[in-house]
Amino acid sequence: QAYGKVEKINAELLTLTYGAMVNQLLQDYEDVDEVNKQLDKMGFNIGHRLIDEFLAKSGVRGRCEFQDTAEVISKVAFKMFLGVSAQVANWNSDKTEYSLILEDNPLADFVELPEKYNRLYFSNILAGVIRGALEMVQYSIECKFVRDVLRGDDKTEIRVIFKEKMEDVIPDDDD
Amino acid sequence: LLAESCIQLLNIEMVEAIKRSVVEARSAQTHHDKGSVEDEVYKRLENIGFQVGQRLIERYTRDRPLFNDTMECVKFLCKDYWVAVFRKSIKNLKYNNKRGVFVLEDDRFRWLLNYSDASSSTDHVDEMLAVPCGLIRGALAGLGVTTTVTGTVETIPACRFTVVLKDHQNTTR
Repeated sequence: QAYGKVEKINAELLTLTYGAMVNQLLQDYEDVDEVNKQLDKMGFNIGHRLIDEFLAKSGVRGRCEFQDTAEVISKVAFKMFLGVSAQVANWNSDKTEYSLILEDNPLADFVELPEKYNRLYFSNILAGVIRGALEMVQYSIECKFVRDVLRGDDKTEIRVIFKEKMEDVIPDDDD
Repeated sequence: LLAESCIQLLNIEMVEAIKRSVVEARSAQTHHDKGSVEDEVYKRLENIGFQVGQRLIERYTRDRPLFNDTMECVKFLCKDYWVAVFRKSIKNLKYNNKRGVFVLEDDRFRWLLNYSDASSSTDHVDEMLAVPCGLIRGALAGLGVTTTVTGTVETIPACRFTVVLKDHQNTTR
């Protein structure tokens, strides 16, 4: 239902813009690892800002256990912002790591990667967004792509790894 | 369909990312490139918009009859295209026939909504319009109209796009 509360645009505008930008970065840096890093950085900043809208419109409370973030991100956040949902899979035994499996990835529509970019994680911005957003709710995590259909893998998989719970430094009733 | 804030936030970060890449490229060079960093950043962003605009207009006009004249193209741009891309129609369109200049005014440009509270400095706010300018120029180019487009922010989130027809002198002579 959170999906209904946000303003929508056609996916192709975002898809095409993102693709053109990644292409420009590849030309500029000529270094796939650096582009991966830049995409992650952009995502991190976006995540910092996106969390406000998410908490305001999703009805999800800021405080939840790390295990709950899996459901919230895959079912609510992905749906709300990208219009698709993800599957949660591959929990480790300590419940401190999980994977998000993307069946549908609007960022990667119409995209084919040439051979020379096979180390690129085209949608790496998503990993940054998740990391940035979770940091704002006091979870320090590591987030990375481990598989991507654009690289010939059978699925697209983002790994989310818990690092630490940060102390709340902002008082609750700041004005 | 997906959330509009995605593209708004992407635009903000795109400006920053392209800026970083240009600054880095410059620092690696021994000789100085001509032109300022700002101009280079703007050019690249506008070019991204241009490519996207060309492809979008192709999709949006696929099932329509051809436009008869430039005015029809611009009207389509201000209504249908603007709604599809920026989610509202243009507030005000002015046309100077003699000089071949269109001025498009948007009193509440949605791509600036997230920016106003996100950034304290308004010095470089015009570069937020680089991609939108490209989206306009690309769309018109896709319709066979060659233009230059510049954008200025009035008071956030109001802004104005000035579209100058390139071949105007030739066609009216």
